[in-house]
Amino acid sequence: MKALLANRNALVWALLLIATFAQTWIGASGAYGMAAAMGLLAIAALKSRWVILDFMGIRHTRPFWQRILGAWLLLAVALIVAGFWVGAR
Amino acid sequence: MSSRPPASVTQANSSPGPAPQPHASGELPGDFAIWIFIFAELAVFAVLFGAYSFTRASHLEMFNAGQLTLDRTSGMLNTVLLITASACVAEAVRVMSLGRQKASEWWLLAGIAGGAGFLIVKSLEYSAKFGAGISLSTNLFYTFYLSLTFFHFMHVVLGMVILLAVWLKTRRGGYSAADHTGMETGASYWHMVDLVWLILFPLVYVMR
Repeated sequence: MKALLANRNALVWALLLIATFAQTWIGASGAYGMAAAMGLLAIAALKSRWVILDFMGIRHTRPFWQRILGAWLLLAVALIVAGFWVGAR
Repeated sequence: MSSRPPASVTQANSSPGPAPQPHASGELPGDFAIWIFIFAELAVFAVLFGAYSFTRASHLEMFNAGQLTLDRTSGMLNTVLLITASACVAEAVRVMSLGRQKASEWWLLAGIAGGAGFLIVKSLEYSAKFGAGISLSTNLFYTFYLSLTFFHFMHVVLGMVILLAVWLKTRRGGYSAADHTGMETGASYWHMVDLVWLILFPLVYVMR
């Protein structure tokens, strides 16, 4: 456990797995509707942020690059939210 | 991909010592050219995610019914495989920055195995769908499901080819702690493939 916490890649990998199992469990539970979809999307956004910052190594780059990747994630999430919001009306 | 550094540089960085600060310059890891490609690919996928979501809005019943026919377990397994492959490749870069070339080689191989696992699971999933008579023209949901996932599948194939090239160069001692830009370039592309799947999986397989 100590080794897992000491290695950032291992820690992020474990968190990504836990988040993936949570998403699958929510899906298997039959959760339906805007709230469930947005919860699943929030978990996906969090997972994406971990991959961008830690696996891609963007955490160590200039804030400009962090903002560019962050803007992409925001755009992708916003497009999905807008589509689901239109569908839920 | 970067060229092999002089032997003196390689030897000097094989010795134990403090690890260099990753991307101390603050620039993107790897060749900048790959990032132009990555940004373009990410933009295309964002548009495709939007197209899926807005098309779903006007065909809710069809998309929800279609989604229930998908194998969520294989989708989850593929997510686990890609996350694990991405972690292995990130670890390959980290240990290379410490001068541990042999360990880096093994982490890359583990990443390639994860990618291969993804392709096998996805192929089995496609086989089951095609066997059930489902095709691109079945309905709009399956048009999106098949085209989105196959587009991503082709990116995984390209990522595997890149990782294989990086692995072969690592085996030949082509990277060192001081110079592994080529490895970072390949790794950045591979992480992009993982990143796209992290949104594609819940969107197509789970969100209703």
